[in-house]
Amino acid sequence: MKNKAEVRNVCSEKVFNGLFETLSEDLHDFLHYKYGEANNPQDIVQAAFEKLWRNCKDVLPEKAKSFIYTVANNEMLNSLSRKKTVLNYTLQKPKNYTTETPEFLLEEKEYHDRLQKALEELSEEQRVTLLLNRIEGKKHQDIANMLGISRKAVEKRIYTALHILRQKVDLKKI
Amino acid sequence: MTTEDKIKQWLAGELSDAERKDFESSKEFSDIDRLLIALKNFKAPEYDVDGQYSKLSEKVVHKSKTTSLYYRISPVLRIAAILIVALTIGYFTFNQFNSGLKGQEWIVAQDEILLPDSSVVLLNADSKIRISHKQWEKERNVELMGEAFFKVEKGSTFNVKSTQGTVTVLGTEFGVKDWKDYYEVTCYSGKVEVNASRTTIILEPHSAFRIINGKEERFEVSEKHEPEWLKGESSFSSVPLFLVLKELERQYQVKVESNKIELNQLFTGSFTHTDLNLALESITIPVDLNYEIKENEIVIFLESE
Repeated sequence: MKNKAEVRNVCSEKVFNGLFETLSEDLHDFLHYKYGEANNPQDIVQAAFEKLWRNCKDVLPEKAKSFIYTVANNEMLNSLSRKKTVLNYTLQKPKNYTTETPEFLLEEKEYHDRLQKALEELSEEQRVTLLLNRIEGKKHQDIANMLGISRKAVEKRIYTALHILRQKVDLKKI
Repeated sequence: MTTEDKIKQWLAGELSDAERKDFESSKEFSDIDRLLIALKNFKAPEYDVDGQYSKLSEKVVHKSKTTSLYYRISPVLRIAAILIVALTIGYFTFNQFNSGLKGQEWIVAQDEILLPDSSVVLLNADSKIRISHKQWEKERNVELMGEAFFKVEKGSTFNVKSTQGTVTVLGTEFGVKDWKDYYEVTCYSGKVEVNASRTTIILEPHSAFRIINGKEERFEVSEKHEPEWLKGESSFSSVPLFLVLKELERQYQVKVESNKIELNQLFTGSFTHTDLNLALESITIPVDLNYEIKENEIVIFLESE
């Protein structure tokens, strides 16, 4: 007879692996958009999952998601060598060299530089909410679950962030 | 529907097909669209889930399989090992708890120092700070030697402790100078509370407090947002000359000798950090003095004309 009181926890390699497959990429992207690449999001993801494994007896699989986000945020808060948040961009190569003039390319670069600065000046919460939605295509509700806030709060942050960016990036008055 | 509502609904995907088509052909939309397209260029780098998992499991999951070695050691040795480990841990945590900031490393940096809460500290020449990461969550305490400019994030109590006083703030921008016989706190934004010798004082923006040679003074500073030394200049308002010369020594790493001059006379003015001759002229000309730079050693003589 099967033992109904089987303890389900993260200490099984199968479960741990499954959690990693499901959660790691989102956590990595979250950290990249919140703190920038210079703060090594890959290493923080590793550290967070390491801690999850070490505490595997005390964490239920369904609690693993909030556990790793909490650990990751704390890692950043307590980091001795924390770097300034810098978000780099890559301009797509022009498709047709004859239709895009040097002036246009320069203007594109300047536009992106203004956008980069404006993004770095947003609050961490506004930035990460906006970018998870607009770049990664995450739904409002998913982001709400990730950040532990309401869907309405997510919508408000996205709108506010966009509004601030437009004011700083668009050269004409809105 | 206001423009704001239209945008919000469009963002949430809540417009009807007709409304959406209509909005997407508007001028308003083309600006937003450009921005959203440009945002895509900031995409996070690809994440190699499998590769990262291999790296992780090597370090962690499989490591625990080697702990079976532990069980092959005799029980007596195992217990001895645990006792030694426990004693060592106890010793270290006891020390950490008691010593607070002592035993932490001093930070001396030329660029911005980012504290764990995103507050920023900028240090002037010959200055340093230290903090305790462990205590940070409860109370943000920074120990300062020398001079620094702080941009503090809102949060729990933030204290800057130095030899001659303690500054307590709640999210603001301010500067602290703690040199021998010269303690000065300037508030640029927000509010700070200064506790020094027998005085407690609260400073609002553009006001400052200092103790020079034991004498306390409260004064106003002009509409500035940050101290001059961040922009490569040292600025003084009615400060005894010998303290101005000490700052010159720190900025240029030189030694200043003086000859029969009144060192306590008050000086108001500034000097640059990038040109020693110009700096010396800025100091000496207004007070009718002269200077000489000796070749063999970096020594500057000041003599009354």
